[in-house]
Amino acid sequence: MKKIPLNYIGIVLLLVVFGLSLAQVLSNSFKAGEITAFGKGGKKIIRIAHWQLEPGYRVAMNKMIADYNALPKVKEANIEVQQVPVTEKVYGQWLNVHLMSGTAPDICEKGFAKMTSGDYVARFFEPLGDYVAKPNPYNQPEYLPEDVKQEYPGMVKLLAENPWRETFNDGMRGGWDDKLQNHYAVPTSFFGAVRLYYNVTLINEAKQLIRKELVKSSYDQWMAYRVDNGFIKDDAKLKAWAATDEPPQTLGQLLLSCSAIRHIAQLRGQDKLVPIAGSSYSQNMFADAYKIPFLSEYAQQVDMNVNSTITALETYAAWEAGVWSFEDERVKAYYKCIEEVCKEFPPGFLALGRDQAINRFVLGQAAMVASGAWDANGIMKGASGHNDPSKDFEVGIMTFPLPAKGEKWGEYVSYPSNEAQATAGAPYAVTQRSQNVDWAIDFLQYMSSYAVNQQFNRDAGWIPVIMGTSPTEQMMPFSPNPFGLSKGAGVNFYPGSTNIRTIYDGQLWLYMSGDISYDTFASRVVEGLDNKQNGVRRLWYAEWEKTRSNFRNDERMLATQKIREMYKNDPTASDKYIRGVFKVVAGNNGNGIRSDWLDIHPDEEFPEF
Amino acid sequence: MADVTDSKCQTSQFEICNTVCHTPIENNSMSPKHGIVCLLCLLLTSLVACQRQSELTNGDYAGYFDKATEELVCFNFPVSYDMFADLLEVIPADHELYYRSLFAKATCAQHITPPTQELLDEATKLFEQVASECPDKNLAGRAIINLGRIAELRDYPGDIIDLDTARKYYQQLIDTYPNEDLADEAILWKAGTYIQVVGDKQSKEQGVTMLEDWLAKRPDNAFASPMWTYLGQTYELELDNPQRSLECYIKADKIGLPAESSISAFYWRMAIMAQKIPSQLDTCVKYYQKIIKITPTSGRAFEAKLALDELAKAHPEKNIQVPEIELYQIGQ
Repeated sequence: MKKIPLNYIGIVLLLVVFGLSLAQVLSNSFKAGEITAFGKGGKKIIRIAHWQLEPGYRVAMNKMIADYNALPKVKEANIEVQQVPVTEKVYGQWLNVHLMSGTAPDICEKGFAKMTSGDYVARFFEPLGDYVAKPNPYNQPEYLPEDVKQEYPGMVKLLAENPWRETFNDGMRGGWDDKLQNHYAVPTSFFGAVRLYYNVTLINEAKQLIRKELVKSSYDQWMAYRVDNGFIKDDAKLKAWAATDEPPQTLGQLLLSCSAIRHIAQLRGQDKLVPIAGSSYSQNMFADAYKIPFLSEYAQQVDMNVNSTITALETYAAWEAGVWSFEDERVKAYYKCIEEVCKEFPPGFLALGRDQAINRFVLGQAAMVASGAWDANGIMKGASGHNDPSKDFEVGIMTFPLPAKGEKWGEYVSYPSNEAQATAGAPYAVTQRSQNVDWAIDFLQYMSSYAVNQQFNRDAGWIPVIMGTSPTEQMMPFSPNPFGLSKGAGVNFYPGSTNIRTIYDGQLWLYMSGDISYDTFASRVVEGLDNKQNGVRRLWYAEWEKTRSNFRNDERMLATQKIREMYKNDPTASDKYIRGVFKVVAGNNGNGIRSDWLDIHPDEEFPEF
Repeated sequence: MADVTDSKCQTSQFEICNTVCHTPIENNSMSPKHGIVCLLCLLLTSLVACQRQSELTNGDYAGYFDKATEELVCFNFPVSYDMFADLLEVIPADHELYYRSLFAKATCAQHITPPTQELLDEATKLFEQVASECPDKNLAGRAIINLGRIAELRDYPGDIIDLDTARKYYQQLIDTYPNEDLADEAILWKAGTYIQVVGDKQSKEQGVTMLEDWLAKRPDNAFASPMWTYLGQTYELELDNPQRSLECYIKADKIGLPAESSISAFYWRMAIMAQKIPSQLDTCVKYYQKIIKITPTSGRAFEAKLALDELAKAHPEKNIQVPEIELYQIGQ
């Protein structure tokens, strides 16, 4: 028998797989109505991809899409919108591949994928500058609820006549690309601020225990530990708070409540009950919440170029210059504070993820959990949806409490950090390769109109972004707090390059999980910073290289703006070009970093690697 | 024209075959496996090349030019480069789009990533051709600016920064078009080549003087705001002269600061600087108030309010107004 050449098997297999793929694509298109048996009259499908798999979001999206698809003009045009939910674990790779192969959905949530940032944005997504400068047709009075038309005529006028971008609470900053100087996405929801969710039942039980303890002549060990070590002051303020149903207002009260919860767990023999459902996901939320209140004193000296943003290089340059050190009482207080909070997390919390932490909380095995508004719907539903209704509990929401004056570390804290810079999120962009760009934009206008955006976000349990809209009552505590210190007052320990980040992160985690002492943590980080090859010196060089490279990339933006101005008569390009020229020339080709080096190290050559 | 197109198509196919198979088509020893691969390659390249060429043979230069430009403004420099190269092969040198295509091809060569010496050399050559031959002075001038940028920047590893050559190009523009926007831009770039020199105060002062003299001569030029802001920054961060820095920033603010998205950062640094100069109390108050009123979402409003509260207490005779922070609140 004649031997079949092996090389042909590969080719045959390739053709078979190609044929199967083709059949699958055709079958899907046929099922969706995109193509018909006669090849004509097929639907135009607009696909919208996102990674929001939180409970409620997809259902709300489906409902909104169904309403849109039922609009007479949409039906008449034979348009159908479909959602494509993709888990965030693969969303980035998935979108990158589709963008490069020209098969990306018409509308994509912008994020995770590399191709949704930098110059790629201009290459793959539709600029929306012209659209956002005109009013949103779905904000015309006929689309607004009757009560709004009667009670708020001023707002009706504003929504109908103002440019689309000016109908957003954040002025559509969430869709603005500062480098490309254009809007490339439409934000659709506010993520809201990060808060502490608490189990009202458990906190009340803890407070009952505290109340009982307060009338004793001598406190049990768990209470005495907090009072004797100065975490909380045993005074009238404590008694007044204990007498109410209020959640903890200060860090001392929070830690005391945590001790009470641990005592309850001990009394009931509930091994799994912990005060805070901490995880690797939420550990940084506490570190971030306390960083600015504790360390803002250094901000003015650390922000070398006074641009209201503190980089990691500025932070470590200030460390070299002696502005701050790990020996400062203030710095120690900050780390000790986070350490104390982390002690209230479950053992081995760094191995736990976001889902595990939230599950523990909704199962009633933790009194508190930190997360953002995006988890509110899931948490609320989980807490009130147990198979055994007796296990249901009410969920409260509070801000991260700060140490009060008179409590441990109270002398280091002035104000919380504010949340005024919060911008709208869940931004959707339209791909350039879409065959139906106008319809895709029409759908985004519909999605971000007053009535639809409010209803969609209420259904999803999220926060709407359009002026005058309001979320459900349960989302109100996530409103950004304008009172407090700016993010620009926060030092930055996390450089994006060099191994300082690896060392800092690794040692911090060991310290937070109780494996090493503060002194060991500090000495190991300092050793890393001092390392001649990979320490701060390398950071100076790496940041200089990166900055130079960034300014070189900005030249590309300048070139395209000039071509827009000269070849396409784009009326906005000239102004953008002038602003771009300023950005580039004021960057001094990254030499500002070398000037800063010279200020701190007048007798040393700039490091080269 | 058809002959040119046909021959190009054939050339492309032959080149591809050579590249893929490492074997000329005529070689009889080619195996069937290689043959199939070559055939597929031939088919694909023929389709792409001939589609492009058919557009060009129709004489629709303008349509093809627009498509190539569209690729360029979408940062698709390699595709745009190829398209302009195709166009330049067929478009007559006296066609109105000839130099515009040349300029665009040079721009693409300058910005293709990763940049290489060959690409930058080609960009330089093309820009020089536009600068010396193009009758459109705007395009010619723009080519000179780009030559300056190529000399000034480190485009690829090992590229030498040549500030002197960059300055010569910028000066050439200033001398040729002294009363036009091109010269305004050129003087800004030129001053930058002096200000960016690390640790040389004299050089920085030279750049500063250059800008101040130019602004005295052409105060309303299109780049006046960037110039004043750049001066303010240089006086503040490089020359340690907060008083003069503040004056420059104020002049820029009157025109409109050139950094819309970071305007609050400028207001903040102006207020902080003014607070340290006793004679600038009014300026200090004005900019803290602007932070609260104009940029309430910048994050600095609360701190501005605290500062104003303190100033109001320290200077009751001034009757300092402390505005309320009016920030969007969910549900309001």
